[in-house]
Amino acid sequence: MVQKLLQDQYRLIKIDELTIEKHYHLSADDNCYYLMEYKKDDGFDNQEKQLILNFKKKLSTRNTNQWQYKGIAIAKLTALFKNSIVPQVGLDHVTLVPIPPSKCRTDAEYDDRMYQLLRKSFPTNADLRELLYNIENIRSAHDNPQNRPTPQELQANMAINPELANEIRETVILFDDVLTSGGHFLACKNIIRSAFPNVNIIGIFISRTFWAQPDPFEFDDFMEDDWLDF
Amino acid sequence: MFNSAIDNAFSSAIIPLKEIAAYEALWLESKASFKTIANLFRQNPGRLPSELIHEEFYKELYPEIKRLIQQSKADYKANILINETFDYPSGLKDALEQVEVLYYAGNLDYLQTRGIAIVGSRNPSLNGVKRAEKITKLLVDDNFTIVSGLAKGIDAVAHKTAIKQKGRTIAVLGTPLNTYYPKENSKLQNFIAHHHLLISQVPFVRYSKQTPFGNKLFFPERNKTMSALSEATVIIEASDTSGTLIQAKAALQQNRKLFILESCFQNPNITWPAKFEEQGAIRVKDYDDIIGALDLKR
Repeated sequence: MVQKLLQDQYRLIKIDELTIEKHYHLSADDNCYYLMEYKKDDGFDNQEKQLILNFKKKLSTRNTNQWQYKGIAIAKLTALFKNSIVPQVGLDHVTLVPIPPSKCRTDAEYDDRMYQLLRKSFPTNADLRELLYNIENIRSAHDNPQNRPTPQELQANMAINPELANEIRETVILFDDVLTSGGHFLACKNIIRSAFPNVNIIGIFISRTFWAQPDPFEFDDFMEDDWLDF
Repeated sequence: MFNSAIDNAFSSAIIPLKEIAAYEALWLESKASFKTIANLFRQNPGRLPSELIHEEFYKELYPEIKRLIQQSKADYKANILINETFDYPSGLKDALEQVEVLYYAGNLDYLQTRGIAIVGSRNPSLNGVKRAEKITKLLVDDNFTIVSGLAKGIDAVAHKTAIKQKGRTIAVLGTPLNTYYPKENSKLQNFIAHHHLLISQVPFVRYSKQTPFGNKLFFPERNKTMSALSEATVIIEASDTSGTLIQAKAALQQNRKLFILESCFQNPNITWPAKFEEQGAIRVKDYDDIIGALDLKR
């Protein structure tokens, strides 16, 4: 595999009409961007997948040799953010908000990786706030793909930290690692909209889930038909 | 309606629909060719298609492109790959005529594996078919990805053998991604789109407006792209007038290895093998001649 140079600068890609279809909780006027596609089960150990998986490593791996990879992933993503995202953001006008992790703050598994990444990537004068928090633990969509929490459930379990709610700027950028259905983005957007009706809301995701194409036929069907028909 | 389809919060971000429209519009200029478009990008490094043509020339294409991509008769969906994005394979940047925009369906990770193109006649001899099968099997066993052009004959043999051997295969089309050509390979084309990787650089709109004669010119261009995507090209058999020879020339120009089977040299009816050998092609008497020239440890 060719190794990419993470100091390179890459362009963000917008979720548009051609690509929105499976992000079914996003709507036509949402402003969401991503850097790379995350392919779940394609049989390849590609660099993107490994970077995301390492970034998401659970805190319970803290005392194993797995843990070092989380730190390496944060460092790599910091370089990527500094080059590809930070220069695009007009810092005077935006408030940066990580989408809260599935565990609540008091849980031993509470993982503020996105906050850490943003803290390391953006200059210290950036307006970065953990504005949103989860009231109770909620099952993670990643671990429960068949029983993903709905945006309504997510929203009901989420609140704005009143101590951090003053002087929100004209644009809020929500950050998350993987965009799948868009349910977390929708829940966060609704909460912020109801408290601050006039702010623009943008989503930036490190990756978006790439779904394999549906499979129309089996390998054997096609081979029997015309394998010898050169 | 998607009113904000082309609104952009970040001036440098890519909006896929907009870039497809702009790329297609560049192709609608009367003298456009792969060469003029490659030159345009070369003279404007780091620019997107939409940064090289004014919006008034491409915005009217949005409905047609949405229709072509979202309501395509093909049972797979076209994606676009653009230089400057994280997912763009760095290997593609080595090509002399840099590939800036590609349409694809399937697994893009294949472009980050080592690929060998296997090409040859549309009407091969029985021995030609056997040789193509044998070389494909051996290369798959050595973990190479088999690249070919989905034409009938040698191309189809190479793709099918790679699939049968549980290897990887990339098909580079000389038609737009949503067009089945030749019809007899349409199942193979679907299978590759779903399980492997299908690629085309041919613009949808220009192709639909042009005569079959004009569209024929996309086939030789496809061979140049195929060579650029591959580490080496193997020619199984070809006549003196075969389009395969376009790829032979491109491979040498692009500093790719070119392998020609010994049986081609033994054919008294053709003169091209000796000519390309003088220019640096490698004569293949057995598989070691191929594998010895490729660094297997890489």
